[in-house]
Amino acid sequence: MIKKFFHQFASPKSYFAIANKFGKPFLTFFFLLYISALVWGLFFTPPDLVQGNSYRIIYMHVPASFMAQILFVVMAITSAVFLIWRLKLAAYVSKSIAPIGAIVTFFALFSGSIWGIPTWGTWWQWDARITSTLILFIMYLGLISLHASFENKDKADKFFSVLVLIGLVNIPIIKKSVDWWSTLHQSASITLTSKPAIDPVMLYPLMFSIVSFIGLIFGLIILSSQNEILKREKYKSWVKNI
Amino acid sequence: MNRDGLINILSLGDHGVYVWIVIVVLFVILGSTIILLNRKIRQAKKEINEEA
Amino acid sequence: MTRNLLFIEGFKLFKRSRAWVGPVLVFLLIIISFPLTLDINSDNPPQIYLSFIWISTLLVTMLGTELIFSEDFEDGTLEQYAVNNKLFEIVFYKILVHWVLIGIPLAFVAFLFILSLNISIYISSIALLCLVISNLIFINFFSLGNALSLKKGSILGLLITIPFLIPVLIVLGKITTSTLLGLSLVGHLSLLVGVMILVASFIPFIISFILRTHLE
Repeated sequence: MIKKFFHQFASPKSYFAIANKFGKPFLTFFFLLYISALVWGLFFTPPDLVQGNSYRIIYMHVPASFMAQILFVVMAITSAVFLIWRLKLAAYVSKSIAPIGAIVTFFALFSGSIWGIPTWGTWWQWDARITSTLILFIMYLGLISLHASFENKDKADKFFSVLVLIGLVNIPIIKKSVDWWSTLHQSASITLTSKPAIDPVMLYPLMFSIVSFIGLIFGLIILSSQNEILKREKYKSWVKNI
Repeated sequence: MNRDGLINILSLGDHGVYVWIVIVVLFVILGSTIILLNRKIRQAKKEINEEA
Repeated sequence: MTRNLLFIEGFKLFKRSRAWVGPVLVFLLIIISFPLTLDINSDNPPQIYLSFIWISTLLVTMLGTELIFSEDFEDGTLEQYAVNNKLFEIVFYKILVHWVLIGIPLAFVAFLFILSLNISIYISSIALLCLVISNLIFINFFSLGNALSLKKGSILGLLITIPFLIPVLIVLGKITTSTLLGLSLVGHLSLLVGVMILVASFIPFIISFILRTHLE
């Protein structure tokens, strides 16, 4: 049963057919949904008493930082599937997540530092969260360049997956140790966590923006995995029929 | 819609300018990624069709 | 038989003296250039020197392990071991030999450097101990990086392995502060030793898997 599922639905061919049909509507839907979440957050919520309008960056920063970490976990799951069941499709998806993850992580860092200017008075703080996000960003770039450096893409897939799995073990360790390290310094002047509980007026659009951003990013991953499949299976016979 | 809220955020005052910078960058990144991927996919399909 | 393999590996590295004297000399040069770019005076907190030592040993161990697998890979020795199912052992021995011939000498050079700065012998011997332990961790991870980036240059290897070493650097930083404050080091040092044992026993497995994939 499971085997049948893998061979029928998880082949690049049938995945591509489904992605080709539903990928773009999916992406468009969540794109519009995210825009409406932003409109809600920007125009229909009152400004924060302390931070003024700048707190509205939360509707972009929090979904991005959340996805930056989730994407690594997703990538690790697909990599494990590839290593265990030798499923080509999983390797393609895994590889196509990496650039998206790098982009999202970069955006999380960027929006965070822009947010820091009005609230902390500085665009960068060596605090635990920022530092571990920066390390995550470099890890994504390392994975991309590892995959790119091999001519033999089948080998590259294997090394990529191994490195992702080692990275997954390491991310919590890095996070914990960076947390531990940052207690060396004076505690950061303002942290996100110490903020009083968020008001529902702002919480609902935030949840909405997170959900729609997740959909948007998965739409992007579908698109980028289509690209990867076409690139890798160029010479297979099924590609001729699309 | 709250008229004051609209004016408040559109006037870029009260740190609103930072919000707009982030929004612009986000949509530039998203838009260029989508356009680039679409173009690559279209190109790959075209190449395959030419070969066939 | 297995002891033989260890001797063979040790002798191979020993004969290529450039491979193990070179890194130590480079380390020495870096150490010489450090005082030249910073006015040595007794006001400088010892933390500066220790942090400098951690970072430069990190980079030099990378340089030292750059060719750890490439020669054996090219002349087919590695394939022989893979056929005989000796890949794990050979990886383990290679790392051990590199640690003895590169890691430990680096630690002693660093120890002498710290002593030369009129920093107390207690702090310098703690640094020596930490370096001996952490160099084994560094060499393990860099061998992993070099196995992944075999024949692709060490920049790629560094790029993918340094993120994994950041926790080790943080522990070293913690040890630095607690030594200077005169706090107990038992916890930190046992953490470092634990990490060393874990890393030294697991990483060779992963490396031998990677090398086998290379040989396919």
